[in-house]
Parts: sequence; C-alpha cells; structure tokens
Amino acid sequence: MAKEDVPSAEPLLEKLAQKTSEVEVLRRIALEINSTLDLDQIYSVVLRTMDEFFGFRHSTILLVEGSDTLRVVASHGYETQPLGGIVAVGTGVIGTVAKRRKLMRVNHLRRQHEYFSTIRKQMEEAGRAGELGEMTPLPGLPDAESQIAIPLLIKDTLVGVFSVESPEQKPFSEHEETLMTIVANQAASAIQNARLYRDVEERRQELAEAHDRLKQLNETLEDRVRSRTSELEQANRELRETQAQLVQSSKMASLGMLAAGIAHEINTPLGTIQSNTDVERRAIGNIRDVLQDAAVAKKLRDDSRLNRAFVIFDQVNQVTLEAARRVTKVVQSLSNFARLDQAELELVDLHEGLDSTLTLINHLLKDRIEVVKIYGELPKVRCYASQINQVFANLLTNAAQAIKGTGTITITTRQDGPYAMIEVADSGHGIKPEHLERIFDPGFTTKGVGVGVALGLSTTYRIVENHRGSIDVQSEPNKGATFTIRLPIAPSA
Amino acid sequence: MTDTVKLPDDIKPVMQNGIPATVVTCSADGIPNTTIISQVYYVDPVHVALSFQFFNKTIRNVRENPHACVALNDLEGATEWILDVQYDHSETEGTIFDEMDMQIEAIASATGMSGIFKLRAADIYRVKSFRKISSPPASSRE
Amino acid sequence: MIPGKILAFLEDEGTIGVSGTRDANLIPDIHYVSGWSVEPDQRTIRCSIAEGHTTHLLSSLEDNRRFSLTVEKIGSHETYQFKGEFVRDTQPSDADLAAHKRVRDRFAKVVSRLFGFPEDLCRAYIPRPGLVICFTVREIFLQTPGPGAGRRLYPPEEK
Repeated sequence: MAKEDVPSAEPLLEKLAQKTSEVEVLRRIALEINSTLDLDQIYSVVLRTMDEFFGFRHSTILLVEGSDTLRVVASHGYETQPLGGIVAVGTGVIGTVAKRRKLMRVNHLRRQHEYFSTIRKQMEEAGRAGELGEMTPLPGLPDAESQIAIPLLIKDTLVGVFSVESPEQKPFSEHEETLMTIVANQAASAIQNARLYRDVEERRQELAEAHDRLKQLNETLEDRVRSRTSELEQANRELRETQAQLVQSSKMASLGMLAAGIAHEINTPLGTIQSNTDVERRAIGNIRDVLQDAAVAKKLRDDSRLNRAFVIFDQVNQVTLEAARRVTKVVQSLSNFARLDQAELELVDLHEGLDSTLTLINHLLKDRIEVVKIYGELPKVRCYASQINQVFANLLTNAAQAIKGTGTITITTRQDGPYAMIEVADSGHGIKPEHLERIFDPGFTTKGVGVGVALGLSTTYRIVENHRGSIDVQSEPNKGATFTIRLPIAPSA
Repeated sequence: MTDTVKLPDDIKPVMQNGIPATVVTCSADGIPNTTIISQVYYVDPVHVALSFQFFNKTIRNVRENPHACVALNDLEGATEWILDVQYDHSETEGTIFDEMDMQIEAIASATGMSGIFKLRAADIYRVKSFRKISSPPASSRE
Repeated sequence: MIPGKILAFLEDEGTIGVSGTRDANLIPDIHYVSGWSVEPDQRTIRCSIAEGHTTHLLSSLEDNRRFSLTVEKIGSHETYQFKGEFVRDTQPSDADLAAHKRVRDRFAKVVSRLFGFPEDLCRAYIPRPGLVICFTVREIFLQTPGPGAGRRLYPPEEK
C-alpha cells in the first residue's frame, strides 16, 4: 500500500483525545459529587463542570416538591437566577419530562412557541378564549432555542429534573445528550444520598433536642410536683376554710332562725308565767289583808302553819319570778346574739354583745370560772353584729375550755384612738410558742379533730380582718392567753 | 432527483426546525389538497411521521389514497426538500408516538393549549423518493 | 367570486404560497409559488410557479386540470387554500414579475424579522417565476392552523 493511501490517523487521535478528556471529566464529576453529602456542593460541581468542560452555559436542577410540582434548587448561567422557581408537573418541557419520566431534546423552541402562541391569539380573537388554559411563566431562558431536560430517577422514583438550555439556534447533538444523561444519573444518586443523609441528620437533631427537653423536664419535675403539691395544699386549706365558713354561716343562719323560733315560743309562756306570778302575789296579798281584819280570829293570824305557808309562798314566788326573769334574759341574749334583723353594717354596742355571749355560754363558766368585766367607755362600733358576736363566742369559749378546774376570764374594753379594743384574757394552760405562729391558720388545732373547732380562730381572724381590724395573741405555757382585738369604730368604706 | 430512498443525515436538522412544512394529498376522486403543517418528524432513513391531531382533509385523503408529497423548508440552507411518501400505518403508542406526543404536550402546555393540541396518532409514511432543490445564490438574483 | 377580504389578503398580506397537483395515478406533487395576482374577473388567479418547480406540472394539469394554491401570511399563520380548475399557462408578464417582487419582498421582510436571517438570503429563497398557471377558483378553504382548519369559506358550507 502506498503511503498516500494510508488514511491520516490525526482525526482519529483527536477524537480519541477528546473522548479520553470527556471520560476523565465524567470521572472527576462522579468522584467529587460522591465524596460529599452537601447538596449545594453537589449542585455546584455538576452545573459548573458542565459549563467549564462541555460548554453548557445555562443549566438548572429542579427537585420534586409534593406530588405535582418541581422547584429550582440550583441554577447556573442565568442573569436572573431562577432559584425557587416552580414548575408544575406536566407544564412545559421540564414539566412534561417530569410527568413522562423520559428525556426530551427540543430544538427551535422559540419558533414552536411562537407558532402555538399565534394560534392561541387567533382563538382568542375568534371568541374561543374559554377553551384555552392559562399561560404559565416558566423559570429559564425567555429566548431559549434548544433545551434538553433529563429526569433524575432513582429506580422508578422521580427525584427531579436536570435541564440545559441554549439561546443559540445550534441544536444539542446526540453526543451532548449522552454526556448530560451520564452526569444526570450520577447526580440523581448523589442528590438522593445527600437528601437521605440530611433527613437522617435532621431527625437525629430533633431526637437530641427532644431528649434534652425531656431531661430538663425530669429535672424540674420534682420541683414542679412540690410546687404543685404546695399549691394544692393551700387550695385545700382554703377550700376547707370556705366550706367551714359555709357550714358556719349555715349554722348561724339556722341558729338565728332557731333563736327566733325559740324566742317566740318561750316568750309566750314566759309572759304567762310572769303574769300569773304577779297575780298570785297579789292574791296572797289580799289574803294577808283579810287576815289583818279584827274580825278574823286571832287563832288564824297566829297559826304557825299558815304563817310558814305565806313565807314559803313568798320565797317560791320570788324564785319563780327570778327564774322567769332569767329565762327572759337568756332569750334576749340569744336574740341579741343572732341579730337576725341586722344583716348590714350597724352601730353596735359591743358590751351588749359580750354580755349576751356570756349568758349563752354560762354553762361553761358556772361555778368554775369567774368572769371579770372591765368595761371602758366605748362608743358604738359600726360592724356586722352577728359576726362580731361569733368572734366573742369563739374567744370566750376557747378561754373557758383552756381553764381546767377553776380560773378567771378577764374581759377588758377601752377606746384606743379610732379603735375599740377588746381584750379577752384567761388563766388557762396557755399556748406553746411553736403553736402561736399557726394559731390563726385554718385547720390548726390543739384541741383535737373537728372541722368546726379547728376553724374557729381562723374564722375569727378573717371576720376581724374583714372589719379592717386586727387580732393578736400573747401567751406562755401555763400562764394563760390574752387575745386582743382592735376594731375601727367607724371603718372607711 | 436522487433515486435512493434512504434519507441522508443532513435532512435531520431540517425536520422539526420550527419552519412549517407543506403536505399535498389527493382524494380518491382526484382533488389535490395543499396544506401547511407545523412539523415533519424523522423516524428512520426510510420513514417520516406526521402528527394526526385533528381529523382533517389530509387525514381523510391519505386514508383513501396513501400517496402524499411533503416539502420541507431549510431557510438556513436556502434549500427545499421535496419528499414523495406513502402512508403506511398509524401509531398510538411506542417510541415515535411518545416523542411526538411529548413535544406537542410540552409546547402546548406552556402556551395554555393542552386540551386543544392533543396527538391522536403518529401517521407513519414510507419515503418513496426525495429531491433537494437549492435556491440560486443571492448574487444571481435581480 | 373571491370575497373582498380574501382579495385584500392576497394583494397585501400573503407571504408565501405553495401549490399542489396530482398526476393520472393520483400521486400528488408540490410546486413552489413565487407570486400571485387575481384577474379582473375576481375568480381567476394567476399563480407564478417558481423556477425549478415546474416538473410534471403541465402534464398533471393537462391530465385532470386540478390545481390547488395555498397562501399563508407568515407571523399570524392566516392561511387560505384555493381549489380550482386549470385554465391556461403562460410566461410571466411584467405584472406577474411585479407581483412576484411584492411577495418576495414581503416574505423577506417578515422572515428576516422573525427568524433573524439576512433579508438577502430570504429574498433568494423565493425563486423567479418560471411559469404562470391561471386557474379558476371553485372553492376557498380556511387553512389557518388550529381546530377550525379545513372549513370551506366559499361557497359557504351548508349548515
């Protein structure tokens, strides 16, 4: 064969060199994108390399979002970056590739768009605009002439679309399509791995944060439980106090009604007794007068049995009268104590209240406890009489119960400026120092179990407080206790 | 005129170049029909495809009389390609149908005309002969 | 009679024309058109067939006299097809050449603008008339692409 017949190897060598270069570039792309799990880095490597080595100047990567859209996550070579742009699946070249999951190479895009747009315009002018859909602006080159769009698939799952555009009329070749397909396949795997990694990382972070929160919750749980328990205990105390007040109010209401009923029932026969006693006395007087008459035999006048009968009658009559007066006094005290007719703030004589109360608790005092009253000059005090009487009853009852055997209760009253001061002092067993702090707490008692009893001083405390007054106690063990109440004489509204 | 029926590679860029082509068909009773279409698709060296979207005179004619004449305009190359073809069959699925369908769908959807331009079938024609007519150079023109 | 609106289209707006014939075996043929004008009877069109596109034209026309001309306005794609009977052929007159020049210039201007080609190149794409075919228009169809393409305008379709 002659030398001139041997075909030149140069074109083949050139082609081989080009192929080798392309393979090398593809190898490097694969290496770089598979050595990172950073999505942005993957995008950058793919798009930048496609431009630098293959001249694909305008490219985008879109990822599937939801079931029917794709979003631009990376772009290269655009004046106005289409990042974040949305493409509906089924719309335009990219949307159709996503829908069909097949590669698409389109040339002379502008002419084709223009052809369809012209027909659209004619239909609009012919009044057929109702048959037309909306024209959707799509991200990418507005004057693209050629485009290749490749679906990014992992097995049969669409991850996204890789698109390359060109404004030149030179269409993309089959060879260029092959190069892009190779890169797209590599990119699909790398992107999917990176996304999986990112999802796992996000999940791990969420779990770590949840774990920290849980740990913190556990640490504060005890404190919160304690705090909550304390709140509950306080709420419970207040509840019991309120309940007792309700019971007490109910009792007082009942007592008042009872007192009114008793007073009414007793007053009537009491009136009869008193009236009859008077009649009897007058009758005996008449008999005496008759006996003084000279005509009546001296024997009758000097009869010792008759005279003794008169003496007995006088004594019994006096006792009957005294007893009736005493009953009258009790009834009056009861009525006074209840003060049913006084539900509003009134000017009240505190001494009357104290005396009524003493009468009612006389059974606790009789023959055992001496009551010493040192009443000063006290003007009437504006208060709720029934409530204040309740306070007196509580203090005097406590004082009587504190005295074992015999003793003394001293009640002192005086005016102290704008206040009326009432002091109840007993010679009883006194109060321990550790109990003094809690003596007015609801539920605290030194007497034993009993809601009503245990709430007496706390109720007393609140009644005095509601009257804008004050109450305090001084005591030492075995040296009695002194309760001092100060009530404003004319409290402000 | 070239006798070979194998289309050369340099016709490929002319097809689907975005410049409308012309198709002349003839009814069974002998009336020619000249219409302008948007694209002729390259199938292989001996076949081309036309899109069947609307049932029109062209479709009716080739169902009666399979012969057609297709003219492609290569403005860049100042050349016209005249193809004598014969209707072979229609495809409603497969590679060529999918490619044509995707193309039409992509452009139609972007222009809000998805419902209007819907490919019914890809009509496949066998190329019987072709001729390439170049326009005279501009300098020889008046 | 060609309606006035279509007459005006032919005169002032049509940018490219293609004609079709068929031979005795019903084999269709395409003949590029270089220009056109309407005769005073407003039903005969003088159609200039481009040089190099006249092969088999006359033999087909002598066989069956069937001729169709389709004229499009590039840009809007407004298109009409005229079907009719061959009357006679003649050499291009000055008026035919003038009509060809008008069409050619119109074509060059719009294609250059739309596709970016030089006007000279575009002008060269419309060859000189080689032969003029006169044919009587029997039917006119709307061929503008779209769902309405193929509707007969003249004579009007029966409803």
